[in-house]
Amino acid sequence: MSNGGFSARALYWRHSLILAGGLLGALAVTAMILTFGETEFNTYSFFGFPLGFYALAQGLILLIAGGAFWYARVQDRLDEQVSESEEF
Amino acid sequence: MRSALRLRTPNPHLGAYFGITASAFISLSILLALLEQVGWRESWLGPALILLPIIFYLAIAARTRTMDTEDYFASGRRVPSVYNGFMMAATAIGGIGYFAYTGTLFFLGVDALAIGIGLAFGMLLFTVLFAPYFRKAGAFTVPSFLGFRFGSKVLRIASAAALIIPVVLLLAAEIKIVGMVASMFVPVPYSIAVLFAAAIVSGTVILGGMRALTWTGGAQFIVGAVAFAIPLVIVSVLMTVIPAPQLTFGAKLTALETSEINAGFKPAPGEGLAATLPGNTPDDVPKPFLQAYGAISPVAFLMLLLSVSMGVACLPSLLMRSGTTLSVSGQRWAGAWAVLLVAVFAVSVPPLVVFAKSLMFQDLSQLRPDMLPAWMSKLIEKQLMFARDLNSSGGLQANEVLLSRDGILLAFPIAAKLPAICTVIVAAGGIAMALAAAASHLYSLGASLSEDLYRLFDREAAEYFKLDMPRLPRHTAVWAASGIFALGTAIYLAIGDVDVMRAALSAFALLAATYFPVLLLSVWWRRYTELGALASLAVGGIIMLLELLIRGFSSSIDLSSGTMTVSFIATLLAIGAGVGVSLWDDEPSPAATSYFDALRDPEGEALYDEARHRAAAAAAAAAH
Repeated sequence: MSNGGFSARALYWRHSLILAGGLLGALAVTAMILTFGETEFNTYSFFGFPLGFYALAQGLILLIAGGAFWYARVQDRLDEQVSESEEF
Repeated sequence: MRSALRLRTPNPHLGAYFGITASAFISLSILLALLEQVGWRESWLGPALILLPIIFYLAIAARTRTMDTEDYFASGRRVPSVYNGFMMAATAIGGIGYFAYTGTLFFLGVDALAIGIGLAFGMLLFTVLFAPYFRKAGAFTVPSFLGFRFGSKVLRIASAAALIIPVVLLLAAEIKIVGMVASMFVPVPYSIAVLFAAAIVSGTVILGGMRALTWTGGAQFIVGAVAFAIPLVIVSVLMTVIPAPQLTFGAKLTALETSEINAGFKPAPGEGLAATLPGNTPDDVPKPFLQAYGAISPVAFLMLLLSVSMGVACLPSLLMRSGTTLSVSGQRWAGAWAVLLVAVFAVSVPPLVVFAKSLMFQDLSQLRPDMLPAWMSKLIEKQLMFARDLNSSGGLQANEVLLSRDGILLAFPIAAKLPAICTVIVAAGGIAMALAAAASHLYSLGASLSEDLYRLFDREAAEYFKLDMPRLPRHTAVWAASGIFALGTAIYLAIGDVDVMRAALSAFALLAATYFPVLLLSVWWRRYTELGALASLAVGGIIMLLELLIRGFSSSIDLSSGTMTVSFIATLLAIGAGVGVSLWDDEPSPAATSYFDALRDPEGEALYDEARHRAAAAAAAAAH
């Protein structure tokens, strides 16, 4: 358990870090692209909305909500994996 | 000791209770709507729909009163995720989001979306970065978490001091909203309404602490959400036939642009516009809704977004709720629910604003100042709108209509010519949201500051695990601290004034520069030391305080280039100072690193509970 348990824990921690950083980083970059590209995107239309406006007023916010549930699910699975690997 | 320290079963009837709350509020609204039709005067509807729910909230608070430490400070650690999400969403949105954000979006158009996105992204940051680890730590307040993490009394006191200004600003803003809205619909003067609001809020906190907050807050969130949805859905059906405004308001945008051109809106000149954030006094709407970056530059938009989200992520009132769920995973799900609820709110505000703006400005150019339509005279009578013919052209133009920012949401049902009851419904919902947020902020002030207050009275119990022994003093310290803050805030509001949106943005900017770096590094970096944490607090706090003092505190905040950018830079500098000082400092103590590692273990009891349990066992063994 000592050796295997330690590496499972380190791996769990690294995965959690990548998950959190990846999710937040991806959303922050998306927000940045949408902010600077708003006028550009507004030349396209999406269901009657100017695309740039839609992406900020709804798209990004819904993406954030979806990201939160995705994160809770994936992190739950990581938690399960580490507790299984430490049972021996 | 991995076994459960206490059996934690959530109440199985919670769904039924909240279902009943929602249907009771809807039934009361329908009943009053009928009574309005048979001739009840408007001056009776307001008191009925505003006071009855308040009595209901106080009844919940009385029903959930408790003296048990774990119930009072952590709601028994058995709140189901969804219900904790309700209360967290109510705290994050509050009366500020309800009235001030709606109004700001009305005035600034798409440029104000940064605040809505910031609220949702802030909840996500909170869920990912802090919430699960706070649940694992189980500390009752943020300062006490930092105290345990580094074994440091100095840091605990410093972080408690850093919390006072931002949380008081938020508390004052929320109580002001309650007083302002209540005094419009109930025949009491504003200063009395403010005192009553403070009394209701401190009553809730004193009766049941976190437990009362959880359950009154859940009911208040439901009332707030239902009340927001009712006029929005009705107007959506009237204007677009489909009761899902979020999907269909795109079709109204072209019409809105046309009526804006007819009303004489000119695109704002862009950066360099002096007054960017609409203020407390009635003002004319400076720019068309869809014009991007007329009020602030893209960089300022991003700074505002990030500053608000970092401020929300480390809002003490939210962090303290993290200890109330069943498990670490449960807290992540609670966070996810809260993000969803905030997101639904943030997505519903733009359609409401587009509808409101089209309603108010579509016929404006044909109106004559001496023959205003009924809805407009009603708005003027309620002092939500002012119209004057500046250029004596005989007609009205966009810049001749002044609107009050925080009153836009109340003006919306009137402009849509809905029955008076709809305005009262929105008012009741806004009061509910503001009460929930105010109680949350007041509790976090009281609980955080009482920690050290309590120790003054009880020096023998200085070691933290003995806190549980003399039970009464700890509660009384919270009672005293929250009572003092509630009374002080109410008195200040009765004589002074506070601009709700500016107060909230100042608070978020301060929190982002002080708490965010400290919490980020102490949860995510093993090498962080006590000295590093103090350095982060000092650097962020001093820069932001100077910035706000120079600008005259909450009275003026410069969105276009200033305050939010300073806050963002202060955050980066505080992180840098924390990293630098920690690396220069000695290695952190083994106790600090083992606490850090224990935070990462998703299983087992909260660390605080384990320590208390061990201490109790040791005391029992010593007694034999």
